[in-house]
Amino acid sequence: MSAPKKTAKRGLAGLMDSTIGAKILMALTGFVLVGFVVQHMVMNLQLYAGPEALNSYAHNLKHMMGGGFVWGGRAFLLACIAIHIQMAMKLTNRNRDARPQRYAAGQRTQVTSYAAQFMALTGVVILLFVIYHLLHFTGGVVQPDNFHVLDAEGRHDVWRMVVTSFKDPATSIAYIVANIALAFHLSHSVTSMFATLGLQSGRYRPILAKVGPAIAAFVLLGNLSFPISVLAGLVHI
Amino acid sequence: MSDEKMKITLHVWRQKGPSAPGELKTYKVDNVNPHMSFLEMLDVLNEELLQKNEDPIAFDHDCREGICGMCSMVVNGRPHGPRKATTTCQLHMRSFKSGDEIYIEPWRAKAFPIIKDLMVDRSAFDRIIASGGYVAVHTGGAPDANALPIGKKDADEAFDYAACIGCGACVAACPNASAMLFVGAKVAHLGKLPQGEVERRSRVLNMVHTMDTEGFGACTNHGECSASCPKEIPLEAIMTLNRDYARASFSGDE
Ligand code: HEM
Ligand code: SF4
Ligand code: FES
Repeated sequence: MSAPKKTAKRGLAGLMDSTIGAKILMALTGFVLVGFVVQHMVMNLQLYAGPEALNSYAHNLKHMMGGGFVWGGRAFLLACIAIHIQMAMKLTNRNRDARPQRYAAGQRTQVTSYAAQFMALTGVVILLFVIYHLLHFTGGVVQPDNFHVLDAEGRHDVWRMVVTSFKDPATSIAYIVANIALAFHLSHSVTSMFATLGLQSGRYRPILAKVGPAIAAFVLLGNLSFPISVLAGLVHI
Repeated sequence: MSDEKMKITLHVWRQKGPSAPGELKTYKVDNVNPHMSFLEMLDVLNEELLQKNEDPIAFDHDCREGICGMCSMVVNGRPHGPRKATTTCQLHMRSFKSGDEIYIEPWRAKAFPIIKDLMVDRSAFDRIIASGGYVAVHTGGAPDANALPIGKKDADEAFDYAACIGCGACVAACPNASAMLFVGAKVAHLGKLPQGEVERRSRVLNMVHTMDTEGFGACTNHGECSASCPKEIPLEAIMTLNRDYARASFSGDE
């Protein structure tokens, strides 16, 4: 057999044409999103410090650089989500096509996890949740009565908005379910991200294998604590 | 070990040709000697089928000693069957019990079209190798051993990656039918050695390009490939491949 005369494109164009390049884009955008999700959870812990702490944090954040910081951040995160989803769809479709006929008697998997097998599904749940969450706490379209409240200093009363919203069990359950999906997504993806970037070899491998589940558990515990504390009456108005 | 004969029920994928529809057909094989290999058990069944004027089951095999990578079949949902680090030809019937039901299917991947029954066309792997899985050197006579010094660690690792027999079990096991472990094994094997260093960048770019155009899936780091690999190629092969690929994409030289 003679060697085929196909030569790969070089540089960025070639990278972007390849499955590995698509994965690298997912990993890099995923890295940004994970960073956001982690800091978002940590900052929200200020719920426990009371209305003053949370409301002034939110107020200052919104007015940083005359509002430019939040809008810049939003645009950047939105771009990351768009790229992440575009690559996820491209690769998920490709992977489905790569095995047009399934095993008639089924496949017996040995080492993969549920998290790894349901990445696209948990991804879709996260996307739907992000839309709902933005309409809820950022836009005030869902539950506008909870949203349009000011505190004694005339700032948006973020603390009261969150607490009154989570007193409604249906709202809390939506947040809990979405965060469980997020935890599954993170537990596979963060470790997978290091593998995709070629960073997960050698002696760091056993540690990096645990980083995904650890970050997932950290974010899950923090995020679940908010609706649960409100429902349990630990945080109340 | 008991020499008692076993009775086995097989459900085998039968498919007359590449585009013919296929189905699982049931066969009973009595008198299975536990010391037979899995392929010998299929030979016995094929003898019986021939005597009954039925079409024997087509399956690939060559060396029958675990080195050629031909004996591709998925046995009870696992490529090469239930034993770790064992090709189908090296699997013995003593790994099963009398009365067992065994399902046998071909590798399933768009890039490995079925030829007949359990035989698939794995020439996509050949095309990946032809696009870069070699070193272009004047071989001349056999060089003296150790004429080219190579560190022990690199030599050992290159040897471990070189153990890949190109069987395709990694593709068959992968939920995405990805060939990353195979390609990674070749890239890591040659990249560890000074002889392979020269073409390291163009090799990885061209092999990945061919891998993609052959229609294999993309890696999502399930790890099923390595768990099913009869030569236990480690998942690090894929991480090396990812790293080499990213690096080569941004490098100007060949
Ligand atoms: C806050 C939102 C999200 C975060 C933090 C996030 C994070 C990540 C990260 C870090 C990866 C690893 C990339 C790699 O494997 O190297 C990943 C993979 C993936 N994400 Fe997301 N993602 C988010 C939203 C989504 C959404 C909305 C989808 C929609 C379909 C999605 C689908 C996927 C898929 C299919 C993978 C590939 C899985 C794999 O490697 O097995 N993600 N995600
Ligand atoms: S990596 Fe393992 S499973 Fe894949 S082709 Fe090589 S020997 Fe077979
Ligand atoms: S027949 Fe050669 S490896 Fe099994």
